[in-house]
Amino acid sequence: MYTGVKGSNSHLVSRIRFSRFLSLLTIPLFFACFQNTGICADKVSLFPQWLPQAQFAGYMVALEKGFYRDAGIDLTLMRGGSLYPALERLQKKKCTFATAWLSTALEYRDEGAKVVNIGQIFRRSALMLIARKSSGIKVPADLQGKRIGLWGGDFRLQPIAFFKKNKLDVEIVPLYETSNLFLKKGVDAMNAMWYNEYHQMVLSGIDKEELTTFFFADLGFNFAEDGIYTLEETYLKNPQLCARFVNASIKGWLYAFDHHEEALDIVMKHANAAHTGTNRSHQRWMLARMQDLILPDRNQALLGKLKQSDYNIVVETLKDLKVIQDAPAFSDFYRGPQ
Amino acid sequence: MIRSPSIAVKITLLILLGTGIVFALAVTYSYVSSRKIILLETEKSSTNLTKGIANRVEQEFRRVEKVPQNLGLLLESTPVQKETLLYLLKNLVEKNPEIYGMTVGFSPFAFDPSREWFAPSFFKGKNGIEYVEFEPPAYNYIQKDWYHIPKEMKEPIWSEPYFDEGGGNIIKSTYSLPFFERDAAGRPLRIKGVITADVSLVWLTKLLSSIEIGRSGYCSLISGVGTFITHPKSEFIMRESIFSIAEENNRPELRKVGRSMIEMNSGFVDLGMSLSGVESYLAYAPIPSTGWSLGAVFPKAELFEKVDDLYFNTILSGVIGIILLMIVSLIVARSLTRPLRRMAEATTRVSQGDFDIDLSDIQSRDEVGTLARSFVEMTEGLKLKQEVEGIRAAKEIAEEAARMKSNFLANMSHEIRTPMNAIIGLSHLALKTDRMERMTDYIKKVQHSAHHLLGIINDILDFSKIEAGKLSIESIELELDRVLENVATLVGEKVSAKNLELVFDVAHDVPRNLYGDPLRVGQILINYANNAVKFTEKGEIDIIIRKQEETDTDVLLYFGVRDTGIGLTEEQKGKLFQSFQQADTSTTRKYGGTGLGLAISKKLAELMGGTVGIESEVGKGSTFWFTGRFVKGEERKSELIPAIDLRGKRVLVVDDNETARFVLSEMLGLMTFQVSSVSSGPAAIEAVQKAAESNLPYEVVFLDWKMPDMDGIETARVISKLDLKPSPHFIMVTAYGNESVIQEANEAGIDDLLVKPVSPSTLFDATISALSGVRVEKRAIKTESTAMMENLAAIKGARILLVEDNELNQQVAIELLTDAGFNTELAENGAIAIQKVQKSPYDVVLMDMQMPVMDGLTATREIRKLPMFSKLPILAMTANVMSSDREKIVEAGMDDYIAKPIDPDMLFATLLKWIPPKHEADKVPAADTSVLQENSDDDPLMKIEGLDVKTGMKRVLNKRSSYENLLRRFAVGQSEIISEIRAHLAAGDCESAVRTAHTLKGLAGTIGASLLQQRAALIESALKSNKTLNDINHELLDLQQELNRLIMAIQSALPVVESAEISVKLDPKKLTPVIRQLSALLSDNDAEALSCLTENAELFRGGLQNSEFEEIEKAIQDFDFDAALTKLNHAAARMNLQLQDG
Repeated sequence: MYTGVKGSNSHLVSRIRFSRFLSLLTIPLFFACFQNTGICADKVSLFPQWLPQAQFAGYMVALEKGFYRDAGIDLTLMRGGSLYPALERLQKKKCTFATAWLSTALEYRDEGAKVVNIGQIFRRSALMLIARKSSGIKVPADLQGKRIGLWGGDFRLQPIAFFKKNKLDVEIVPLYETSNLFLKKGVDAMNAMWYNEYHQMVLSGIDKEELTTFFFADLGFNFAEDGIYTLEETYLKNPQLCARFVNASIKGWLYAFDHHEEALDIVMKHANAAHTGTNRSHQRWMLARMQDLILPDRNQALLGKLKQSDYNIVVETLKDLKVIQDAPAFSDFYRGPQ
Repeated sequence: MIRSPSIAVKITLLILLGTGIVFALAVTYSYVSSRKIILLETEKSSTNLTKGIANRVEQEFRRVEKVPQNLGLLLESTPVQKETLLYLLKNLVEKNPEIYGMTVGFSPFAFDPSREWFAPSFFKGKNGIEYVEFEPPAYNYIQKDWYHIPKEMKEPIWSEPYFDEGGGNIIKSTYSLPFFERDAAGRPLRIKGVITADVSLVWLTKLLSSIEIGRSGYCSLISGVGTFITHPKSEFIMRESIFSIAEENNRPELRKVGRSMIEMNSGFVDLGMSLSGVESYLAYAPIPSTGWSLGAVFPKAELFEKVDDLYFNTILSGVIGIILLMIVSLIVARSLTRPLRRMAEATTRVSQGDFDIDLSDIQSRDEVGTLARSFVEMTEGLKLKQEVEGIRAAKEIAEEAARMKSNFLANMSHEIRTPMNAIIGLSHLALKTDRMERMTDYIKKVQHSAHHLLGIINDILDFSKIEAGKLSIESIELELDRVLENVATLVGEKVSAKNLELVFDVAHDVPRNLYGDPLRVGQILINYANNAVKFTEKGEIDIIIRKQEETDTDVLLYFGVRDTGIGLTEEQKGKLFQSFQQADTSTTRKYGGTGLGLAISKKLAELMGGTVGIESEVGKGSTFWFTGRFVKGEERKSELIPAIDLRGKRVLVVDDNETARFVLSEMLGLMTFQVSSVSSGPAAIEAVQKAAESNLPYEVVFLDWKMPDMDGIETARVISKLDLKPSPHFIMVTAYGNESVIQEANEAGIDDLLVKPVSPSTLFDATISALSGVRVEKRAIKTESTAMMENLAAIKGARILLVEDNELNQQVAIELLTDAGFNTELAENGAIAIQKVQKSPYDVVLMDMQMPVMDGLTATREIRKLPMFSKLPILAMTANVMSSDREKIVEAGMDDYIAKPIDPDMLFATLLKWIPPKHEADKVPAADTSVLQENSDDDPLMKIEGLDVKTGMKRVLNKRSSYENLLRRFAVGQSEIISEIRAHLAAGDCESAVRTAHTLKGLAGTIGASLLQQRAALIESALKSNKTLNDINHELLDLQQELNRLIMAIQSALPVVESAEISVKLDPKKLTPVIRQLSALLSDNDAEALSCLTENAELFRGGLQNSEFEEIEKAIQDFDFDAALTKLNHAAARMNLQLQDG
């Protein structure tokens, strides 16, 4: 359920915890009333679903540039990672807001967790299949009978739904930590995030031209990925706060898109603090892809909004795969900007 | 001003350039080569180095691999108890210092079927070897790459290096080895687990950082995906990969290097800018076990540092060397070019005209030295040349000036000639008209002055000819006596006017017939004589001729004019004979003169092969002399020795002038006479008396006419009155013979009159005549023009076209010509002339040269284009008589020229030459011709074969008697001519042979013997082409045969007579009545006069001189009875015949 980042493929990831404490020190020690209204800022926290990287650049930038503060929000940006699933953290009220995939949220709802979407950030699925052209895979049909490395959890949903839909009989090899099995040619294809693993391959010396790519977004499975979730009760208690948070976050994203290098500086600061071992080149790619995913049609009017049709695709697929029994009404689930 | 650098600088620059180029090339080449070598060396060594390190690392990893491998073999082969395993595991971790920890992760239920998870792990902790067992869910090891990947790959793997944050934040890598349950063949059936060995890479980091690659070179290890494991930049480690760097810095080539590395290649590449920012090379070698790659970076600067240092030093020393070389070469070049500079300076000075250059300090023996010496020589040459140029320029200026002056003079004399022509012509005409005595005198003076002026102009023209180098000397027959006569004529009057004596002293051995230029000889003598007269107030002028040298062909004669005048000083003498120079300015004023005469004389003498000179003493007179070389002519055979009975006769010379006396006495003495001389009339009378008394009478007395006290005529009278028996004959010698003197002399009983100068032959003839009592034809004082007029009768009535634009000249010419009996028509210019000649026939055209509308040359050319006028005589009238003008005249087709101002005699002579005499003959057949025609059948002459009588007669104007005389003379004179030719040839005197043949040819042509003429011409041309006697012997024989035949024929046809004159004895008794009859007829204008003349021709010829007869005959034929009568009276008077009765 988490993607590996090159350089963090230690099997002793627990060691990361040490530095997490360190990062907590960076939380502002005082709260100031910066709002024009003079009301003291709402203390909130955000738990991203993964380690600090450009995938969360908007939040980092909004925080760094004071957009949250300006919105009367005193945000604590928590360090995400594989150890703690973000919605679990939300469910346990360890944070005010969390980011997660729609499919994950629907699974949590299906299991009774009252999480609501207050803003859909990604509007295009970044999940894809990559294969070496040298393995003979040029079109999806070529996947028949191949060894396909798949991460677990929600990462499997789209490929499996796709294989099922296209009646492809493939050998699924689970992937857990890294893409090394693919790099070492232990599998013919693997699933990857466009903004992450795909580029990791490139940074590992595989040329783009050497790879065949299948985007699920283009294959009928455009799952809405990263969205901002909170507990229904939090929303109901202070929907304005939620909206302000989402708006400030969107503002952060837009700023990041307009100021790549500044945003990268901020991202790299967070990444380095977390010793993620990433590099700026990779984060630059990732940030650029964020723009493609968040503003796929460059339509800012749809920013932060979840379309019911997109919701329905995920709901239907999850139901089809019997991952969920049922799904909440769209309006119950989606509490973001209309 | 931009100055080109000096040679020294150029040489230096050249050397520097050359050296620089060579140096640069050498340095560059060796530098490039060195770099190449170093690069190759570096490639080799660095490749070796990286391979060496990589091998070492590889071996280390292999050693580490052995530990799990051995354990894996054990675990595959034997079931191991937990305790044993733990013991082994702990022991392995403990015993292998490079191994940080080891884990054996068993597959679920693989170690113990009752136990799903078992993964014991030992690691080096803070408290020694620590133990931990991994178990899901806390640590789901089967989902870890260390387990999962080897399991899936079914082969061991080395993990990507990682930071072990918990384990001291050191870089580690884990070797994971799967072990299996195998079939009998050893093929894996089922995975039993994975053994891992965690290896700290600290040793590796240490190892690599201990390797020094120069000062800034380094080693770097990259993982199988290009991640930097070691790198001097710590921020790269575990974070950046070679690919991310390539992407971040947009360096695709770096990505290629990375690919090559992770594909386990080794190599050596130009990295370009290294990651640490320096130009570098990269050598890399793989570590196959881990899939990592070791790179060693060699900074170029450092790599080539030594070479660069070396080459920096090389270049530095090279530059220093070049600078030194520059200094040295500059010094050397300057010292080498110093002479050149010196020469350049010298050249500048020379070009500015300063030739005083001193390059003696340039002593080198090399090319420069040679150049310097040559230059000095050249400069001297230039100096000389410049001086010569200066002189030449001055000379040219002077010559140009002289030419201009000459041209000016020529033009001026030409211009003056035109009016002169009018003056002379008109005065000539005026003198012929009836006039008063006083007017006659004036006009004579005018004419005299005009002639004088013409003389001056002629001098100027001559002088300008001399200046122009165009004066030439003719070589024609020169009769010395004629020349002297002419001199006497021209000078005599002046001499007598000043009461001076003119004496001709010609040595007896001086040949009288010569070839030369009579006019020029006369000109010099006249010039000298005129001068002598001018400067002599009292005494005599002697013209002295002596033979100085003689060869077979020519003779050098000395002509001296001695006077008794004022004489000249030495200084004056030196200046004479130079142009424009006269004795001195005072004399110039006193005596006048152009000062050209002597200069002209000098030049003329030089042209005659002689020289001029002067001997003089102040107050005692001068002798101006010149010499000239002349070709000898045919000497008259007649020896002036009288018949024996006349030899030794006593003669007396009476002359007051000692020289004249001496000269005459000498001549007579040589003729064997006994000569006595006295100096005056009374002395003569006394001498004659004495001689008569002593019975040794003087048979002939030579009397000078003009003598003080008593003149010659008076003396003769006195002596005649003495009535001596026998009475001496008198011959008077006079310088001037006019009619009155002759008359007076006749009356005084003087037998003969000799005009000075007296030639020996004249003297001889006169003496013999006197002695023999025969009155020889009186030597009438006959002017040239009268003789000319006689001849002109033959062509009277000829039609002449005068082409002349100048009115005065028209008048002069027309009157002259009309006066002479020609039909003259006028054309004002050439164009009119062309029209006129086509309208009516003309015998001759007189063509002026310069005319408006069309000049003479053009007109002539145009006329000559018309075929019928190709032979029409066209005579130029020109004042330009230089040879170039004559050439133009001939070129244009003119036949001859007449010099302006027109000398009537010259004009008529020329006309005679060109107008055939037929007119007169046609109109009035001459007596001789009629005789010929009447008697043509039995005329013996006509029967002579090879003789064209008609042609021959034409030559002598159809005068039968003349023709006969001609034939007779031919027969006598030419009989020995062939022998003469042979004699000349035998003597080797080809020239004379040619001349003789030429004479024969001419004579043959004259008499009309055409065959003879042809043969003679043949011989002449043969002789001219230097044929020998043998060559032409045959032709000579032919010639002789023809000649002999002709002579015999002539002699048989014509009776030989001694002399025509002598044959007819003067018979006054018979002649007188005939003359009277003719005189009467003429007085009555009776046409019977002609028949009277012809009927008594024999008689008339016996008394009259040939010319007299012919003149009278012509006059009668022209019906000019007055003129005929006058002539007849003259002749009668001469013969002392009384025409009047009573």
